[in-house]
Amino acid sequence: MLARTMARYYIGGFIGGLLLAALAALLWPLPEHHRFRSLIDVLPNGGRAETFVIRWPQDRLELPGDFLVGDRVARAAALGLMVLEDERDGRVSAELFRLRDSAGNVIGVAARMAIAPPAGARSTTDWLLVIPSRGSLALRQLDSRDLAARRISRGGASWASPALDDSRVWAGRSRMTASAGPVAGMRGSVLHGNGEFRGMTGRHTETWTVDERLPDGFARGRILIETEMQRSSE
Amino acid sequence: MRWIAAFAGLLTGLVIAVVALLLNPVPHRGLLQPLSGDDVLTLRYQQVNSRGFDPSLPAFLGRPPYPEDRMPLPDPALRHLRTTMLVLTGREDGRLGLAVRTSALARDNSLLQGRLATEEHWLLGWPGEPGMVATASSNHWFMLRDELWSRLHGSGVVLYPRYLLSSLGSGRTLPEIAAAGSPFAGGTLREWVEPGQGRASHWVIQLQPPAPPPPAP
Repeated sequence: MLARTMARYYIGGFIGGLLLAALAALLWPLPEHHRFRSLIDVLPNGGRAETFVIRWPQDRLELPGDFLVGDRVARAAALGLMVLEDERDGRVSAELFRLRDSAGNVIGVAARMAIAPPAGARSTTDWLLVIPSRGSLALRQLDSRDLAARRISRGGASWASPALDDSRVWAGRSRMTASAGPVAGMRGSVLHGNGEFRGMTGRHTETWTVDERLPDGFARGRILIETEMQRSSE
Repeated sequence: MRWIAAFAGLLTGLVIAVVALLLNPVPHRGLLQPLSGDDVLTLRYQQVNSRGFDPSLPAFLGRPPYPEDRMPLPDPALRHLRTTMLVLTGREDGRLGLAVRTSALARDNSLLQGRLATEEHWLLGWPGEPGMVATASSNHWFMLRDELWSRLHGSGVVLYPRYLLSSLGSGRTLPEIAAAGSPFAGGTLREWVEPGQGRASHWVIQLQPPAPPPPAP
């Protein structure tokens, strides 16, 4: 009798343990991304317009660690910048930034990859805007000049993204449109969307604005990425 | 005495449920096998220049460790995000490329379904070639499970030489490559990690262009 009672209690506890573990696995509060209200304007054609902002230099994302992959890879850690050169002086440079909405909230990260052919030609830039709570948006543009990082020797730096960090290119002006195509009106195009941006097509303009020129030749300012998109089925 | 029996039963039930959860076969169904074929581009890298959350079990469960050397991203919207700049090395020709990989915790993770995934966003570039953008989903379940087992066991030994990461994404989406002007446009991607026994792990990604359309009859 005692053994049967014990067995009943054991089996009851066993089933309770199974249920407890299943409930814990089901109800465990897994982390979620913080989301700010999306600041989107609806366009007369039914599309949507959204502006993203990057403040430089404070939004540059510095990365730890070092690369040891030969002398063709350079890295400017404080700038969150990495450059790769080939034998023919072709360059590809990558930069990382915090991404803000038009109200200044940090909503994601932006990666900029500029690919420059050898000597003198204009670069092509791919932007990847990742907003964890919403998805990602990739943009492509032909640049208005060579905007891949290049070698400098000033202020202790060896590499710089020319228009972002070198105020010499700003002589006489405080605003520059970085995108120059392939869409008419100096606009780039939406390359790919994921998550909320899946199926989006459209165009964008990248504009750089200088707010302050510094004595060491660098500058402070903003990058504005103004997008106009619509779903491909619309 | 009866309550001791009930408590012993409860413990046994908990242990068996946790073991069943860890041996759950469901996540296998979402894993994507490595690509094969002459047109597959295989690239290796070491993940050394990362910033943000560490894809560890506590991080997936909402308790991310933020040691100083990880350089956390403290902004509220970036707490569950990791970004990496890396140099890719071609396995066949040793050619170097540059990439930015951004991983965000997936929004459809589930312990019951064995899904502890990140959404991967890639930006890849080589000098003189059109860049590529790729999106994929990586399920870290098996690697984290074996890490946990290894720690419990105290052996520190990695159980498998390779852990597949690529899996179906939310809505059962496949990895995809967007790359206007490149033969890889519309193609797909796979990723796995080769854990190092006492040294740095290596990651491998494969890129494959879309299959050519069948010839017209």
